[in-house]
Amino acid sequence: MAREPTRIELLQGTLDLLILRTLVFGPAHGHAIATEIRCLSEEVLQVETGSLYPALHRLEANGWVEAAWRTSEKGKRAKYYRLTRTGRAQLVREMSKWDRLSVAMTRVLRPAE
Amino acid sequence: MALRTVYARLRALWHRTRKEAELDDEIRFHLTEEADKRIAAGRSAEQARREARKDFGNIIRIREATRDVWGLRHVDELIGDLRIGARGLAKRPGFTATAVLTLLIGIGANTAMFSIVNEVLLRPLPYPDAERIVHVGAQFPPGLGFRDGSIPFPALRREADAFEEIVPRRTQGVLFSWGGIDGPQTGRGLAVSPSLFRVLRAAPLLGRLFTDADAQPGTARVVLLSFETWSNRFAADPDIVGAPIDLFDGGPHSVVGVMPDGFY
Repeated sequence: MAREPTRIELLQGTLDLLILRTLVFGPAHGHAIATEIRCLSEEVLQVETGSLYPALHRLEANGWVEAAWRTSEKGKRAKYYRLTRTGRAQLVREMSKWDRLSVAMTRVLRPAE
Repeated sequence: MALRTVYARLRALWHRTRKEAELDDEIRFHLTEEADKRIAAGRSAEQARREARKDFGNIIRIREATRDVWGLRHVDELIGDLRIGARGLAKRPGFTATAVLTLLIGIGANTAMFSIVNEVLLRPLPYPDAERIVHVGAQFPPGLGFRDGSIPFPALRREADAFEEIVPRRTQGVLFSWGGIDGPQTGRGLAVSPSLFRVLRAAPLLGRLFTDADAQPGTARVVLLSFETWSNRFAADPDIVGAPIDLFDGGPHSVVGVMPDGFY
């Protein structure tokens, strides 16, 4: 799988938001989360494993996700992350913050539109 | 209490290694998934594994970065614990005061005790090479000892070559009289061999020290005065050297010198 030239580096602090959003569909392991983010962004957002696992463990430490070892569809043991109640609240907060940020960014960058 | 602390530490350590093992499992699972995906896309197993590994990045660095997250959480927990502790103490001033007072008394008592022990036991003797001076105490059975001559000191000194010098000593109460003062005086005396001054490397303030010649039988009996005795009982008489003093239990002696202040 060759790297697409159109890929964009993740903005600082947006990975947590993306992970939480991905987990709305249900519990998932690290690899599935990374794949999901790449697919949903149509291959534009590339999640580096170097940030993914620290981020997952940070979210777990904050209590926004819970982890449990389960057997994957293919019968292997994997660590599944699940969104918690406070994680959902955090996701809502972060999403509205992101909306305001992107609106404001657009206003500045494209004032004519 | 201490045992519980040790237990808690061990548990934390074990907890940590378990967490690390889990992280390794998690990373391994990720690599397998990635390799499987590549095999499904037509790569050979070997190539798929290599690519997955390469795409994953520096495993050691990723592990460290993830561990850092745990570390931060531990610090957060510690701060939280401290805050809860402080709040609890503020809520119960009576208990807090008792605890603080207990600690104060405990620490104070220890400090006082240490000061005394340090002064009496730990502080080195005020002599050069003090660590090479030892005090040997012996309990002789009745009828045996230096005093009655049943243990010949010169022979002991010759034979015991582990020591540079041996100083036999005997403390005794002394009753003495001197022409310059009225009536008999009492004091504490120490009967020693001349080697004492070689061991302690002391020099006299006035006059001279005992010499080996003084220790020979049949010679004149001599005394050295401590600075304290000299100034308190002999009015710090500068001409004291050579003066005769009479020891009631030892006959006439003459003063050969005065030791400096601080020698004891």
